[in-house]
Amino acid sequence: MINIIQNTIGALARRGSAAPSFTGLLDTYSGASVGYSLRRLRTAYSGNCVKVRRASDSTELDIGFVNNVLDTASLATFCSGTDGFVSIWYDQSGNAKPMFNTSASRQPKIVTSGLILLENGKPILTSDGSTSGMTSDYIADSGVSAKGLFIVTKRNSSANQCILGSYSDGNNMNYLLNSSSTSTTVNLNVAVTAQKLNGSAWVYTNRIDVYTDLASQSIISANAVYSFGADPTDALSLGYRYTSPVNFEMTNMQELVIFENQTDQAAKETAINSFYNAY
Amino acid sequence: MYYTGTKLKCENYNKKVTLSEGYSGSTTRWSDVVTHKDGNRFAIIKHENYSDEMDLIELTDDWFETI
Repeated sequence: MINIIQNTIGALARRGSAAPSFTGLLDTYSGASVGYSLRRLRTAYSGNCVKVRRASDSTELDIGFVNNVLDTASLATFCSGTDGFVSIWYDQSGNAKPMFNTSASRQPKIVTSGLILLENGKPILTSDGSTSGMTSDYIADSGVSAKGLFIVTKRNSSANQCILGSYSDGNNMNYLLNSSSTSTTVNLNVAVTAQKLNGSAWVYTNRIDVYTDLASQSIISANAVYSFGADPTDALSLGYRYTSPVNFEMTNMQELVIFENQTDQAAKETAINSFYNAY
Repeated sequence: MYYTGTKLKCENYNKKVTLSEGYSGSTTRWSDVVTHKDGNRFAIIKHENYSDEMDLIELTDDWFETI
């Protein structure tokens, strides 16, 4: 009898101390072709979040998750007193299409002098004053053409930025922003509709508008049909162009998910905002 | 800030920094050489710990093609 009671008490205690159940964005909504984030997006994803290079000795380390968000304790320990740069941002979709940059000078920064860079209390990949960017092996112009695009971002202080571009094709651009250009060519080789910024319809006229609108942490969602092309030169990148970036660097980024469907836009936005509290 | 010089000098600067820093893993180089839109001028971003005899400049918009 005592053993039964003890076992029951033990089971109750274990149940009481269990971590709360986790349901990631990609558990609820299927069909992601790529998913980059500084939080866990899918329960079954067992890989790391980012690979970080520290400036002090150029050593690299994979950083994973704790409680389903970036393991900031390990990151802070690894980058104690120095800067940290992201060389790989892993893809959590299951399709193994990570974002990467092999050039140290252009990798986005995540730690400065030992301090993890945060936006609205959550880690962020930052780019400022250089031609920071990343690229992938993901060809957006393949498979299902109608994509659902979700981005958590914030512009930096550089005059010229581009959220998404391609590996080397200069005609591919998705959200170009500029502090002084009245060019209305914000997107090229991609048709975007149903655009929303922080849950409301997003209307802009030119690159200045986009620059202005992204001054603070923002959640962009849109239906997107890419016609970037299907060559490796057209692979999706953060920033205008990976091989010769032409002064349009990536924006600061916290999350990028592209679905192979355009369903549940509002619900997905709400789910993303419930974590980031951008609006 | 960027160093500007011949393409070879810029590439050599990249090699010097890359070797000295001992990049490993997924990082393979310091930086890429930036080519002026006229094709005849070259620059490479300066690493804060490595100086060179090349001239230092700020890259202005006129270096880049208009998009």
